[in-house]
Amino acid sequence: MNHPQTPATFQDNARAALADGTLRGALGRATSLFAERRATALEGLGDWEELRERGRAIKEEALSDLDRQLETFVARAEERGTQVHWARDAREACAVVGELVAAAGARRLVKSKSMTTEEIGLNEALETDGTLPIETDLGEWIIQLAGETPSHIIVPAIHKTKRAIADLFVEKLAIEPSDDVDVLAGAARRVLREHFSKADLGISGVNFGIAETGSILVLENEGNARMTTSLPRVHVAVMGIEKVLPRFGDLEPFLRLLPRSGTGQHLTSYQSILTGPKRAADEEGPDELHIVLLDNGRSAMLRERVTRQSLACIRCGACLNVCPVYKAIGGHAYGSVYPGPIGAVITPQLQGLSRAAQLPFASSLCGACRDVCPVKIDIPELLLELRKRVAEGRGPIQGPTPVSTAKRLGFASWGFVLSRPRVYRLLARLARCVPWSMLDSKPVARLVPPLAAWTRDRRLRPLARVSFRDSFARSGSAQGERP
Amino acid sequence: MSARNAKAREAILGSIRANLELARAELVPTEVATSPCPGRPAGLDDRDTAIAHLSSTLESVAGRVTRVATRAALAPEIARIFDAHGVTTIAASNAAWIPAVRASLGERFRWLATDCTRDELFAADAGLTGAQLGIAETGTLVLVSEDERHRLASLVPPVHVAVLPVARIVATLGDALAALRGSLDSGPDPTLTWITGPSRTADIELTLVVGVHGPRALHVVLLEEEEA
Repeated sequence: MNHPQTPATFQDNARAALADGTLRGALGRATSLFAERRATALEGLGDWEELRERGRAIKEEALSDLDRQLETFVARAEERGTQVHWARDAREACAVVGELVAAAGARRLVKSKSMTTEEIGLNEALETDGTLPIETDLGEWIIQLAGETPSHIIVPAIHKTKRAIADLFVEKLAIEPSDDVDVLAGAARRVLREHFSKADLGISGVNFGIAETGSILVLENEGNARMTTSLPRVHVAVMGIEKVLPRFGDLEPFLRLLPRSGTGQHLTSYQSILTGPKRAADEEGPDELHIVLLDNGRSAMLRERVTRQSLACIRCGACLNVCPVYKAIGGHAYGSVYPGPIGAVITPQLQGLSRAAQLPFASSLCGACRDVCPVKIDIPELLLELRKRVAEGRGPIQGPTPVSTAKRLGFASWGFVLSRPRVYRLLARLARCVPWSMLDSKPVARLVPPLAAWTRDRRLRPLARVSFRDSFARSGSAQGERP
Repeated sequence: MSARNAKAREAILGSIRANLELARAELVPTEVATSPCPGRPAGLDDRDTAIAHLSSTLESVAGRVTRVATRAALAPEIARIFDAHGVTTIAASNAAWIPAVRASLGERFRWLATDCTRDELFAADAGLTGAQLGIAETGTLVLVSEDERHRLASLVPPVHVAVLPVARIVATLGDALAALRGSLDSGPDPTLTWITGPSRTADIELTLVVGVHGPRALHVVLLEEEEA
C-alpha cells in the first residue's frame, strides 16, 4: 500500500486488503483460533452472563462518578509517592512524557505494549526529541522494526507471516535464516535483554487503576512489562481517565473477563499491581513512578448514555476476532489505532466524526461484537447512533460531514413512506405492476446513478407478484391460524 | 504541582463534571451487587481439592509442580531441580528460609549477592523465591514485595523456582484480593506480582513460545509443613 491509510481512505484501504490473499489467510487462521480458545476458556464458567453484567455495572458506577473516583485515585497514589500528571489531549500527554524523559536525563527508553500510547503517537513525539523508546512486546517490536503499525489490539503483528518476520530478522538483526518460531523469539529475547539491562526509563500502559488504593495493574504474558516497570530508574505509566475502578476487590470480575476474552486464557501469565515507587534504597523497582492521566476526548463521551458505554471498553480485542468485516480486511484498513468494531465506534469519537465518517459504516450490524463484549457494550447501537450523526452532519465533536442533500432527501422520503402503512401498501401495489422480469436482464440490471452504487455488487431481484402479507392473509382465512 | 498540571487537572475534572451534569437526568445510580462475584469456581474451599486444582491448572500452562513434606526436604528438592536445568548461578530473594537452604547445599551452586550488578543478574541461571499466596482457581502465585525482594529474581533468570507453603493457598481470585487489600489506611504492599506459568507469547502466527522475556521454566515446590 503506497498511500498512508487513514479512516478517510477506508474504502480504498479495504479494497486493497481484500485483494491481499496472504493477509486474508493470516487473519482467517488467527481470528478463528482466537474464537475457539475463547469458547474453550468459557467452558465451565456457568455464570458468564452474570459476570459480564457485574463488570459492566462496576464500569457504569465508576464512570457516573468519574470526577470523584479520579480525585480519590490521585490522592491515594500521591500518598504513596506516585507523581500524577494530567493531560487534556495527545499533544499535552506527549509533551509531559517528553519533559519527564528530559528531567530524568534518560537516554535509553523501553516500552511495553500500550494502546493508549499508540493513540497519542508517543513514539513519534519522543523520536523527534531523539529518545525513541524501544518497543519490547514481541509483536510490537516486530512492527517497530518493520516500520509498521499494529493491526490488532492483542496481537499487533497478526498480519505478518512467520516468513516475513524471519526475513525481517535476517535483514535487521543479521541472524541466520530460520523459520523456527523458537529461534526467532530467542533472537528477540537476546536483543531486547540488552535494551532492558541498560534502560533508564520505562513506559507502560495501565489496564486498571484502583481509586481506593491508588494502585495500577498491568496484565501481560511475556514479562516485558515487568521488566519495563521493574528495571529502569523511572517508570512512566500512561492511563486513560476511564481506566479507574472504585475498589481493589473490583478486579475480581475483570481478571475473569479480560484474559478469557482477549486470548482465551484463564489468566495471563503476569499481573503487576503497582502502588508507588520504591520507598527504601534496598528495595527493588523504580525510584520514580509517574502516572499520566489522559483525557483526549474521553470526558466528552460521558454526556450521553449511548456514547458513555464506549468508555467501559477494557481493550480485550474479542470484538475484532468475531467481526466479519475485520476478519476480511484486518486492522490497518481502518486507518486508526483502534481497529475493528470498537475502533469503528471510538475512533470517530476520539478523532472527530468528520475525520472518520466512514468507519461507523464498516459493519454489517450482525451483532457478534455485542455478543462477545465482556462488558456488554452495545456496539451496533453505537454504530447506528454515529451513522445518524454522520447523516445529520453533526459530530460527537463538531465538524462538517459529507452527506449529500440528495441522500438526505432520499432517506427522508424513504422514512416518510415506511412510517405510513397505507402509503407504503399503495406504492408497493404500484411497484408490482412494473414488468420486473425485464429489469433482471443484462442491459437494465443496474439502476441509474446515484442508485447504481447499490446494484454494483448486487442483483436487482424482481418483486413477487403477490405480497407475503396478501398471501398470508389468504392462506390464513382458508386454513385457519398458523403458528 | 506545576501551573500547567493544575490547569489541565481543573480542565479535565471540569469537563467530566459538566458532561456528567448534562447526563444527570438519565444517570441512574448503579447498584453494584455486594453478593459474591459471579464465576467463582465451587468446591475449592477443601484444602486437598484446592492443592490439586492449583497444581493441574499451573501444569496446564507449562508450570511444573512438585511437593515436599518438610522444610528439611526443601534443599535436596531445590538442588534436584537446579541440576535438571544445569544451573550453576542462582539469584535468590531475601526470604528468611533461603539461608538455611543455601547452607545445607554447601558449595554446589554459586549464589549471587543481593546487591549484585545488573550484568551478574542477567547472567544468572536460576532465580529462587518464595510465594506469599497461591490461588487455586487460576494456578497463580502471588509474590509480595514487602515480604521479600522478588521482582528481579523471579523474572530475569531463565528458570524460576518458587516455594509455596500449602497453607497459603486460597480458593479464588476474590479470596486473594481480599487478603492482599491491606488495611484501609496503608493499602496494598508496593508491588504485588502475580505469576501463572512461565513467560509466553503467541505473537508470531499465534504459535506458542515459552520464555520470551521472563523465565522459560517455572517450577513450584509445594511445602506441606506448617510455618513455625
